[in-house]
Amino acid sequence: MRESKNRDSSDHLAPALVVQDAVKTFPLRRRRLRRARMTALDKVSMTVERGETVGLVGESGSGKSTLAHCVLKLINLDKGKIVLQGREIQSLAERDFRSQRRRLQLVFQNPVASFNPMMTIGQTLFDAMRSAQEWDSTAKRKRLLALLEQVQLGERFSTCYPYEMSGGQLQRAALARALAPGPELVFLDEPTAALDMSIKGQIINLLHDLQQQSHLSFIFVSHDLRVVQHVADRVYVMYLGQIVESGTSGQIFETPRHPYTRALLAATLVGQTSPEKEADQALRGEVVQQENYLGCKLYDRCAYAEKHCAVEPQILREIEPEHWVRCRRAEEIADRPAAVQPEDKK
Amino acid sequence: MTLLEISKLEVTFASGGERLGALRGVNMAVEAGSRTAILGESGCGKTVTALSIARLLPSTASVLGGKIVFDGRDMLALSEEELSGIRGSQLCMIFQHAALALNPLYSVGRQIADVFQHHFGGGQKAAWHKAIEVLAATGIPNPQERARDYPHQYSGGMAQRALIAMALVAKPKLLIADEPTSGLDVTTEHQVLELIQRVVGDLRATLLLITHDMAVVSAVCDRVVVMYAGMVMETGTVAQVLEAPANPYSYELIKCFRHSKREQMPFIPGRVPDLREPGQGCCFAPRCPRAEAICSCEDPPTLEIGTGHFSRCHFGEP
Repeated sequence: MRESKNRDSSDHLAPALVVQDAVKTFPLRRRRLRRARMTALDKVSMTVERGETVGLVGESGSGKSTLAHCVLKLINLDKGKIVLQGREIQSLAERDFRSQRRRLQLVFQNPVASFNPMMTIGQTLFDAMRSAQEWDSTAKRKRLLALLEQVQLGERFSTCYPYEMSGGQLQRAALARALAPGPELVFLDEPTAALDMSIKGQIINLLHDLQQQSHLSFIFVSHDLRVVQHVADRVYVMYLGQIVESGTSGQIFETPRHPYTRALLAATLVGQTSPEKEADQALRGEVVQQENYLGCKLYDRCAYAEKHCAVEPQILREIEPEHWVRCRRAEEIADRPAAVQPEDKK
Repeated sequence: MTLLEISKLEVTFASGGERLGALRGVNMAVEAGSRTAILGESGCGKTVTALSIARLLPSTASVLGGKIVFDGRDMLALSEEELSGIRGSQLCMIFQHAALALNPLYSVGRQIADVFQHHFGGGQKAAWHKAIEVLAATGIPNPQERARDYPHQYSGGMAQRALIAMALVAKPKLLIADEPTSGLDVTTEHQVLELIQRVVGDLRATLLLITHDMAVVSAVCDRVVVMYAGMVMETGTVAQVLEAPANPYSYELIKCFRHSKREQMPFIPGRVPDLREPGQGCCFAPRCPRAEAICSCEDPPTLEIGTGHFSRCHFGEP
């Protein structure tokens, strides 16, 4: 569906996106520790292949949004590289990056808040097409109709204002807006969180169809592990700015190895009559960001923690092909039978 | 014994010169000691039901008819004065955005102490100690210090704990929890749900939990009321409704929730009807895969299809 498909063959093989050792810190404003900084991204690396959907999960404060903002170059990294289809974009000046920006798009969580209430859907979509100047107005009109059809909205919606539409319809319009400039990678930030259960499926199925049609790559950020399990080919689990586990969807959801992933899954499966419900326990306490970590960041909350965990920094290691875990006890934990629970549940 | 009985409740909102029928003849009974869930999507009238029970509806709303009997008293007939004796002491509510339900200008401990003093009198010191005691009971670390903190210093999960602590102070008979865990992380959600269950168990209180999440229903509740477009579509035990839903709406909604991966994700086509001009017949008919001619012209009856299992549908059998 994209007009220009003249990429050179060399970057055909490059992944859609590679993030390498991304580090981002923010200053903490405290009276005494004026120079203290909070580490939002702690050497995060991830790869997104073309046509792939990558799930990104973690509690709030784990750095998911910071990563999204860095990848979209809305903020710059302190250290690290972001490679978009073989081309490093982190070091590009804003002026040079602008022509590239259309290749990366973002869909927000709340469709109602992400539209200008004074503009019709058609005007919003035209606006989004501005970056592709080569199109004249008839081409744009044609493209507008094609976009609306792609997201299964009728032509009549082009003259609708956001308030006239339901949440599900608006989220589809938001997808059309993201697709308008012809992106290669779309960052979906909790695209179904604000939608009712009965219409979540529409959006998820639509994403699937779009990917089939146009070979897009998606990064799907979500709290809702059930939805991630449904859409993602591979999953990255983040905790306090670090990737703690990554692997294929099957590895993460069927044989999770990191205590954090296991706890997230156990908490999500609340009430479903499945044996996993009993397999793990929720984490203690809440996410607490400290300034200096000696050992594992999950130490205080982890039911599997040992003395060593407090002092030994954990490294991300590949325990089976494609399955990376940041926990020294990963093998033990996986072998632990579901019924046996550590004693200190509370 | 029935603690709360709502019959034929009708509530409308003024909306740009029109009347919007938010509740259209809601009937439900909550047994003392039960844990009842009101399940439904946004705009179906869950929260309006809860607010009507506590008589906290905004001024744009008007109750056109019906009755709410709580603990033998007709809530709709009580004066403001009588109500303030019931609210907070016999009937407590915890809200979706806990941080917004707390007053930002007073410390959390002070707000809890105020509730205690209002209902039980006594000195400030005793009330302050009580506040620390209930904060500790809800699992807030360092309650002595955290009681002096202000709501903005609390995380979402802690603010929800503080609200639960406030409910604990007065030992209510009925605790209404309106989406207490939406917006919280899954691990925090788990902790808050456990806390609510523990508190309700300890107080031997009755729980009315409003949610759109089926998992929360099956984890916490024993009975469930499914609402759609301001009407009750199905009531029954959690096992009856979630395992063998009789109403097409509940059936479709549960199907959306229980999908297996890698197939098309199920959804309900169409959208919730406009409550300003509800059509004739069953409110779910336009979206219902089992709808027949009768559905779009005649209001369906509520049929009992099992012991304590009611469904609002022309066709009784699932």
